[in-house]
Amino acid sequence: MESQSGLRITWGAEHSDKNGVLISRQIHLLPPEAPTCLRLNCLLWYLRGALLYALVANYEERRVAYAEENRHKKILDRYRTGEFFPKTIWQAIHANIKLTCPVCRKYNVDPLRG
Amino acid sequence: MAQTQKPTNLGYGELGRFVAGEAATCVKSIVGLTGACTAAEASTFANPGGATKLAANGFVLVNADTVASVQTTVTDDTVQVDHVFTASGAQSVTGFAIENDDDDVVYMVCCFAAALAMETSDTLTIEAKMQFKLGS
Repeated sequence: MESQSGLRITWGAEHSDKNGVLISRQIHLLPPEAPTCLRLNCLLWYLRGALLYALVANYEERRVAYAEENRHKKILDRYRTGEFFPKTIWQAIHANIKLTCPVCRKYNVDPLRG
Repeated sequence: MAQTQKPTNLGYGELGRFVAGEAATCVKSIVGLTGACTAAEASTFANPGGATKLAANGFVLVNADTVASVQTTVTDDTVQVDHVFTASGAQSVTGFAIENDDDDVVYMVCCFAAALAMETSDTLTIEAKMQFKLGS
């Protein structure tokens, strides 16, 4: 009988300035587990997880880059702390669109909701 | 640059030898990385994730501040490495690698979601974990 093998790697990284002011924080993102069966619902569940992972990874990449580029400017805390973390595909789409819109991210407005 | 993290094949081998009581050393060191970084199991000491090991500005290979076993699922099933880098000059950092005590095997490579632009006296606080017990 075989068992699952491998190590699970988790990590966090926090960049602060010399006064201890947070510039950006990152946490690990784990890709979805490979499907364990060939039934349609297994494959759909995996596809859903893969799509969510791709959207969240894209959001995190741009969030951290935005926080780093604006280290001396005031921006929404959520972009430094990463505390708003998209949990659904819909949230991830909203978060990505909001981050690309300068007015939306400055005034904390969701462009899809007006 | 997308965020990635991987244990390495050479790290698995080092762990196997360490548990078997053969020539190997424990998790001990940490080094900052710069340049394009993609964590891969094939990473080596010379080539961690395709990135370049930093040798200046406070991100050089050093013993980590703390290496200890902690509980994730069962008692002591996880190795936790904590370290704080303090930049001594401007430096772009794209990830970090955890190494053994001999500084010749990479146990794990982690690449950041985006490059961090460190300035003098900035700090980078790292917490990295390797969990052995998977599942419930």
